[in-house]
Order: sequence, then structure tokens, then C-alpha cells
Amino acid sequence: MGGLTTGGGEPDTGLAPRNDRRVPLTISRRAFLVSGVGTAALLAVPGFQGPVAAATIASGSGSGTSGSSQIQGVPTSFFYLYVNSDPLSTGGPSLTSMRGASAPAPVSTAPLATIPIRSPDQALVATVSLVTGATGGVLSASFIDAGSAQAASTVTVPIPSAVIGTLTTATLVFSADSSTLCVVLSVMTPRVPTQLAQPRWVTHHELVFIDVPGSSATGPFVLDDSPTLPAVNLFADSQQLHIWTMWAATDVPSTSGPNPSLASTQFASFPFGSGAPSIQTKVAGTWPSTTGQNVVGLQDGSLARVIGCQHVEIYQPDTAAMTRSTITPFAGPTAKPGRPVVQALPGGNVLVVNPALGVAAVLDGQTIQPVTTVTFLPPRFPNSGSPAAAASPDGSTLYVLGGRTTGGVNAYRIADGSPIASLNDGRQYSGIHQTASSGQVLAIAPTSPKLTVLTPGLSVVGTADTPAAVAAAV
Amino acid sequence: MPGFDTASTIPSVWQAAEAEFGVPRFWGRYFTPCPNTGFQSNALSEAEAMWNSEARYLFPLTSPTQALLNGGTATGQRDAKIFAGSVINAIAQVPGMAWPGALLVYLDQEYSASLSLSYWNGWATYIGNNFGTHLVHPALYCTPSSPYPNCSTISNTEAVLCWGIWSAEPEPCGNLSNPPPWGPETCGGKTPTVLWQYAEATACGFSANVDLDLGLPTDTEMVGVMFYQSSVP
Repeated sequence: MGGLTTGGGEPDTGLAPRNDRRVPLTISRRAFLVSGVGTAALLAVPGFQGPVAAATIASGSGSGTSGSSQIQGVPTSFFYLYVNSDPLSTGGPSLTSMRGASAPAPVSTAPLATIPIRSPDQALVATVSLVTGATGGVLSASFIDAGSAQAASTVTVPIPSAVIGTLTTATLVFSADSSTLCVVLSVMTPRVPTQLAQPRWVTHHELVFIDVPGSSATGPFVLDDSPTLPAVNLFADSQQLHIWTMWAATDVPSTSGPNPSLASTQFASFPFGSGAPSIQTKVAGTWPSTTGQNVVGLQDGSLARVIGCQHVEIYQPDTAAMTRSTITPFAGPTAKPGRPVVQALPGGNVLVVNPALGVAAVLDGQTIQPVTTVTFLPPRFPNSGSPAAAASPDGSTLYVLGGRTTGGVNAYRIADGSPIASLNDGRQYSGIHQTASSGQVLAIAPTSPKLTVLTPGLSVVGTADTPAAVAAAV
Repeated sequence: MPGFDTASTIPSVWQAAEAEFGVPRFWGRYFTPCPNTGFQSNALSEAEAMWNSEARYLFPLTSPTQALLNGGTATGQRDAKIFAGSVINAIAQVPGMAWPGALLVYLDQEYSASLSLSYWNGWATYIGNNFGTHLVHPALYCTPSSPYPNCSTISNTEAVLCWGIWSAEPEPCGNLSNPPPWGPETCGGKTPTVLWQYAEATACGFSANVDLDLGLPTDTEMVGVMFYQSSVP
């Protein structure tokens, strides 16, 4: 395929590919905390090479194919970081991993089309890249074994519409059973406006279904939904992909200007491997957004679409019938937006956190009524790339960034909102992430050292740094 | 020329804000993509509340997923297209809301987010060319002193022109009737700082859920780049 270009249409200069996307992670001076029995040794300082590191991992249990290993009796995990090593170049973002005292390694070399995602069973990390070409493009989906950071499989899919000059973005979602990766492509095609008021780009969507165990794909299925906005909300159960899109009223030709009444949210469901919807209809739902809207499946099979942390729309997937309500603990206004956290908990309940408001609530998985509420001081950075809060895998503990004057990290018992532990280091962190395998917590800061690994009890395990811009942890 | 910006809807905050600070000159509101309720969700109701607040000017801002500001051209264009669609649609719903001769719209870049050159060029290029007959210019909300690329991005020789900075620092606090003297952090270079968020609600201990902003001292320049509500909506 000649004339390949990357991502957004930047020309391939023909230079040698950039193999070395290694993001150096250097150990900090206070990185080692080996003292006394049971104290965690330095763990998450990849890139440190030397006899001290070797001694530190002497009792390690190996490669951790089960998703964790131990160094001096403390379990470790891989953290995956979505980074951009040179934001002022056209190289694009990539994925890097960090674990224990192993050398840092780039996990992906191709510019990523979007933020990678983890499978619900936590076993895999999926990345997607897109390349346009003179006669069409290629979608590459790579699956990384989350426990070893090793490439597990790659599936490539020709995308005929992704010709040079178009711009395509991807939105990803795993099926509930982790067996299917659904990729929704928003393909933006340039056009010559027929009327002055028309935008010069028109969008349609395409679906690709990737069978993860089988390393195969079906699609792309080109949806007849143009003109539409390139914004989608997604949810995949074990059989169907449910998708919310927005009819782009502003793209409809009109001599009198845009007709707002034409703007409408569309809901459709597609069985895996099919471009024929089982249902497709206009709904009275909120505009899909690329942020602030998360969908979870409820115990009765309905879909809960959380809107901006304040409202929830409940959809019956068979009929698209929708009811809307306000989530009572989040009814209060805020001056600043907060990146909402929506997390399904073991047992079927749903955790919703609005960091700007300083409120977390567990919603009943059937009624979506609040069961418990946790309040905390809003952090300084409630709207960062990584979330300001995360629940432990067993749903018992809520980790939240500290208040804007105190910083640090706090842990609360979700059942009654009582504080459990604190990291009182005075640092202002911008994001938090917890692994399911070992329970370790990664706190991300905008200033050096950017990466702090903590035990579930918020003791510092170690710190690491990187010159790259860390956008999010996966 | 001081005013408010808020992530909440104007109907939900304007009365408490005016009780605490007085009458604003303008409102800054989020439009999709944003993590909160966007202005376009109920544009007429928001405009009515703005009219009741006696403010007559409105400027749009957008806050896409911050991690994606690290991304490529296509991602920037996508977010811009959604934003443009929401702005055009919203304003079309409000009788009496007039487009200015040239509108400034703001991309929110938080302190802890990195803005890539590719994303900015995709976003800014779309903004500058896809509002039909309306002249719209891309601008940036950022903290110039952040360790992450913001000023360096927009000042890059290959960057699409950024028409203005809305600076998030410093925060000396204060009120509407007696704002601090003009003193925002700047990017330097050729990009002017046109707005300054000098007081954040949580940092300054406000009761009302609004942040306070000061526009360029020259009143005419600022009103010329905002929407103007000329009559009761």
C-alpha cells in the first residue's frame, strides 16, 4: 500500500521508523525504602539498573504471568501509561509500562489512535492505531498481556474509507465477557460546502468487531448515519454493542441556517459481527460527549448512562425506552467541572464519583438509588487525564486525591464513608489508579517525581519519573 | 470588565452568585464536549437566566477529555467538530443572541494536561474554518506556569494561530466590584492574554459556585468577541 500516512494525515517522510520510543524512567534518590521486616522494598522503579536493584529483587517470584509477582514478599503489578514523549512533534501518543525494577519498555511504537483500555477481566490491554493510505487505511488492534506486558496478539483490518485526506478517530469498548473488542470509527471526510453555512467536513461511523480469542475481525460495517457528529457513547454486553450518536443538524443543507429541532440523539444496538442493527431509533437522551458520560449495565439488563455526574438515563435496550432522573447526592452545582468516575462494583452496584463536588455514591444496581455516600474535600485537579478517585477491586475502599490545600491521597471505607488511611506528603497529585491484581495504587503528579507507587494501605513503595507527558494510567 | 464562568447551569447559580458578588458583565459557559452539563442542553433556559442576571455577553468554552489533548490531529478535529455543532445549535435556539464580528472560543487545558501540537492544530484549524459565515477564532484556557506544554505548543512555528489566552493564574481572589489590578500569568510572545480567572470558588472560599474573571481593560475589545444577548430571549 503506497503513500501510507499516519493517524491524522501527516505525510510519511520516508525516514526510518522511530523504534526507540522508550521513555526513560529514572529512580529518585529516596526510592529505596528497605527497612525492617515487612516493609515494602522498592518496586515500581523500572529503568534502574544495577546491583542494588538485583539484590532487591532476589526473592522475586518470576515473570508474573498470573498478573503479579513479588519482590521481598510484596506483590507487584504492571502499570500502563498513556504518554506522549514529545508533544511538540507529530509522533503521537504511545503506551509504556512500568513494574518492579525491570527496565522500562515501550509497549507500542505506533502512534495510538486513542487511550488504550483494559478488558473487564483485567487480563489484557488493548491498543489501536490507524494508518491512512492512498486507496484506504489499516486499523491495527494489539492486545497486551496485562500481567507480563508482552504482546499477545495483533489484528489488522483494512478500512477502505480511511484514505489520505480523511481524519478518523476510534472509540473502544470490550464486551462484558472480555471476548470481543468493539471499535467504533468516526470517519470525517472533507467536502465542498454547497451552502455557506455548511461545515467543510462530514462524518459517518463504521463498526469493527474483533474476536479476541480467535484473533479475527469482522467489518468494517459502514453505518448509514451521515451526517452525524463524531461523538459516541458505547456499551457492550456479551452479545451486542449499544451505541449513542448525534444527528448533526448543523450539517443538514439549509438556506435558513441550522434547524436545532433536527439535532437528536440516536440509539442503536448491533449484534457482534453485524452491521444490521437490532434496534435503531431517535431518543430524547443527552448529546453524546467524549467525556463525562459513562454507561454501565444494570442487573436487570437495562443500561445506565451517567450524564455529567448529575443525571442518569436508564435505557431498555430492546425498546430504547428511556427514563431520566437526577442522582440526588450530585444535585449540587460546582464552579469547576470534574472528571466523573463511574465504576461497576462486585455484586452489581455502581460507584459514581464527582471529584469537583467532593462526593462519591454507591448506587443500587437495580434502582440506581444511592445506597451509601462518601464525602471528601475536592482535590486541586478534579478534571485531569487520570481520574481523581478509584475504588478497590473488591468495592470496599475508595481512594481519592487529597484536598487542594493538603494534597496527598486518602482512603475511605465505602460502606460508611469513614477514613481508613492517608498519604500525607503534601504533594498535589493529578490522578490515581489501582491495579486489580496486586491492589497497588499509582498516584500521578504533574511535577517530579511524577509516579508514586503505594500499597493498598497507602504506604509509599517507591517513586519513578519520566520526561514524557503522562496523560493517563490504564 | 469582570464576569463569571461556571460548570453549572446559569439558572442554578446566578442568583446566589449575584447575591455574593453583584451583577456580572458576562458569563462563560461550557459546551459539549465537557464532563458537566453543557449550555446546549437547555440553551433557552440558560439564556433566560443570563438575561435575568443582567449580563448581556456570553463566551463558549469546551473541556474535552484531558488525556486526549495529548493526541493527534484527528482527535483535535473531532472534539472541535462536536464543540462547533453544540455552539451553533445552541445559539440557534436563543432568539436575540447575536454573533459578534469575530468570536473567541476557548479550549480548556487543565494544569496537569499536556497539549500536543497535533491536537491543537486539528482543533484550531477546524474552529477557524467551519462556522459557516461566522468568523470564529481559537483561544486557549491554560496555566502558563504549568510544567506541561501549553505556551510552548501554541508558540511553535508550526502551530495554528492562537488568538488569545485565558489565564488561570494567579488567584488573588477578590470580587466583581473591586477586582485586582490586571496581572495574569502570560505566555509571552505574540499571543495576548485576554481573560484572567483571578478567583476560583474553591480556592477563595466562595459560597456561590462561580469563578470570577476579568477581561482586557479595554471594554470594547472584550465585548466584540463574545455573543451578545440583545433582547429578552
